[in-house]
Amino acid sequence: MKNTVVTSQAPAPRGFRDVLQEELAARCADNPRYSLRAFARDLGTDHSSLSQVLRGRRRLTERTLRAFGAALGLDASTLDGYVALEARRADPGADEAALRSVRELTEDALAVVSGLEHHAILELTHLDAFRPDVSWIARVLGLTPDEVNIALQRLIRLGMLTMEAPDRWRDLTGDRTTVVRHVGRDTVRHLSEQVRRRALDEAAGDAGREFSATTLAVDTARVPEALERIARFRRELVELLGADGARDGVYHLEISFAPLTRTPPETP
Amino acid sequence: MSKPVTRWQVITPDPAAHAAFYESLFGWTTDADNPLAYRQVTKGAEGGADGGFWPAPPGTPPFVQFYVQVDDVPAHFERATAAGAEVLAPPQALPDGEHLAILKDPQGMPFGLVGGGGS
Repeated sequence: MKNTVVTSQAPAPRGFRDVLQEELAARCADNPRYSLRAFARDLGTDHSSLSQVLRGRRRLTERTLRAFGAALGLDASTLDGYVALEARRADPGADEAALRSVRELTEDALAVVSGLEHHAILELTHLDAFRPDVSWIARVLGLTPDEVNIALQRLIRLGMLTMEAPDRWRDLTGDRTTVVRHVGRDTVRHLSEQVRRRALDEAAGDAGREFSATTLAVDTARVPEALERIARFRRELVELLGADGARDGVYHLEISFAPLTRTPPETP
Repeated sequence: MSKPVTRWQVITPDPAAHAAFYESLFGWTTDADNPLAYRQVTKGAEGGADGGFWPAPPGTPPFVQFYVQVDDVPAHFERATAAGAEVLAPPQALPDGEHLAILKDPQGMPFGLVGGGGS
């Protein structure tokens, strides 16, 4: 089962520093005890250096960027994009092509993050019954062969999938669950719409599925605890379903927990 | 060994319509009965290069890519990148047994390598 935070693989046009800040924020949200010091340790650096990088006081060298990126599990092609972007920032006269390349890569990566079919194809390759045949994939996922081929091109281009032998395709993102977190609202909306459409699709058959939503009034002081439980639940489910056994289906779990009300002003 | 252009590919957001146009114009036929569901063109005559129509995301301007036949795709891929080409798709083993890689030349034009996988 995969456990990739795909969001981190989407090179945001704002730069690698923003990725680090978003990742730190995400980890702090997942774990209230997480800190800058812990993040520095996970990235293989000291907290003073990391702090300077995050505040823009220290330049991100290519070596540091690649080391941090590797620690975050980003793939080489994504890191190439960030390196090009940082080079462009350091030298405003750098080749326009470098920026264009980053833009193309960004579009590809965002399409992968928000397109359910990409994750589904990667997961399919782990099935015992997987067949490296576009018509078969299209039939299983309810897509057209053209849609499958467009997704395949993106996955190969981003280094997430390889056809390593005529009868063997390999998911290069690892044998883990794909987790999509902390992406832009449009991306989340697009992914949610696809999932909802699929979940309600009668043609998908009556195989086990759960589709429910609850709206409730909450004590906002307990929200951090709720977020922690959600993260734990997701981990436990991944462990349960990732255990040994036949792999004969691809499922998507989507958890959405967000305020419908704006934060009330603090009472004096 | 000579390295001829043996294949072309039209990359288009509407491969069905694109294929239909050329079928009606030149009497070509396309056949997608292969593991990649790739619309291959059968010209029905000797000579010339074979080709096909490959899907692109909506909004992509259609363009043509040429493929050079080589005996060792990975080796030529290395030579191309050393000469400044950018990688679009590293060498892949296609279901029909052929190998393929797609690169962008230093001037920004994509092209493909097709053929054997080397040793």
